Amino acid sequence: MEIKETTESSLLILVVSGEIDLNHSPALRTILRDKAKAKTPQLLLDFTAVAYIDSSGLATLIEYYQSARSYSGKFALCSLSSRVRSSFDLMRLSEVFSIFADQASAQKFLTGGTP
Amino acid sequence: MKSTTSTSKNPPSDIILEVKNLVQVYGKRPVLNGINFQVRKGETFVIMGGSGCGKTTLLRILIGAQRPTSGSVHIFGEDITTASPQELDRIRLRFGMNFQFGALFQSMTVGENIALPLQEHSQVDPSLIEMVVKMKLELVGLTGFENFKPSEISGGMRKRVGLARALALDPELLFSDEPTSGLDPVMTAVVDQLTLDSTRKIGVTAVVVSHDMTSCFRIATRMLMLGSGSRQGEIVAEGTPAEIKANPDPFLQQFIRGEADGPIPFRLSQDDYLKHLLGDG
Repeated sequence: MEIKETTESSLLILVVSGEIDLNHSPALRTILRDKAKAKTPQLLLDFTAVAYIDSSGLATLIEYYQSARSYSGKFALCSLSSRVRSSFDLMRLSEVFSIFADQASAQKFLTGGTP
Repeated sequence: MKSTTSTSKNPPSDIILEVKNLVQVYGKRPVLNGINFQVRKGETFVIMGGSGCGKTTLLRILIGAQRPTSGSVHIFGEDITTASPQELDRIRLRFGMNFQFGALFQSMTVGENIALPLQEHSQVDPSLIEMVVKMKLELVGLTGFENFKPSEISGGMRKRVGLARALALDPELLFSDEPTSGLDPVMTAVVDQLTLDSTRKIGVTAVVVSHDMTSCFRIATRMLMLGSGSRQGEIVAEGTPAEIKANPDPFLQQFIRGEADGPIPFRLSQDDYLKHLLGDG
């Protein structure tokens, strides 16, 4: 798993690639906890190149979502493959997270517009 | 269920499970007699057959709980019939086992039972494990039952907790022993749908032992029937659900139609019964 970080104004974008599984979700967790600690106002996770996410990865995202909510931070995901999207759907997390088809629509949501 | 990694021990094809010339003899009685089949990635492979046909024996061999008399079972390209206990432990991390009656630890709560594989085999933080437990319970329709003991819930609920525990580590391969027996029709449909979603959408491979025909035909991509009586130990039929339905084998047709009359032995023949009764055998 690799994570590349870019910033656009106040929006932080993490482009994740590879598999988010038991071996790699701790690394994602470390980064997300740092972002929560810094009270990142707007965070987008771009999952274009994520091939797989397991339950530990999903739990890591829930933890960040909870933290961000506590300081009114905004959080979204975009560009999920159908297989990764199915993992969210199966656990009913598509009802929890803001998930968008592409970066543009996610950015619009995070920076003040509506999807 | 993560995708297959490219270690040297992985099979080059998408064959997840391969059984070759499997024989199991109890005393002089062959329960399994030269069984061969393959299961490919993403399939739901259903093994069916009447009581005493060797389904449970086969399943025990497939998960490495029992060594066969002869033959091999390759899972992810590795022969588990010759694997050391340490190798077996490593292979078992990649598959889940859903036992017929849940096989839950009675002294633990439902949540603790589901959390156990994650606590034993991962470094996942306890707070995240708690979330995974909640997700798995939601998956099997038991949200809010974390703190119940197995003795405080019904048999059908215990079965579903067993399924949740089998899915705790997101296995690539899931073995299920009679996953719907004793469940009401709605819960049977829920468990079947979960199997279908896991295989079709996430790519999990499922091997299901069952004699619930409605459920078998709903979930199977391929089916295999083991024989009993005069056909003990052999494969009566193997194929897609459509092929199984169209197969004229009277043994198979009696079984899938659930008919009392037919070649599947229920009682001894009159001659054999008299021999047995009078001690002439």
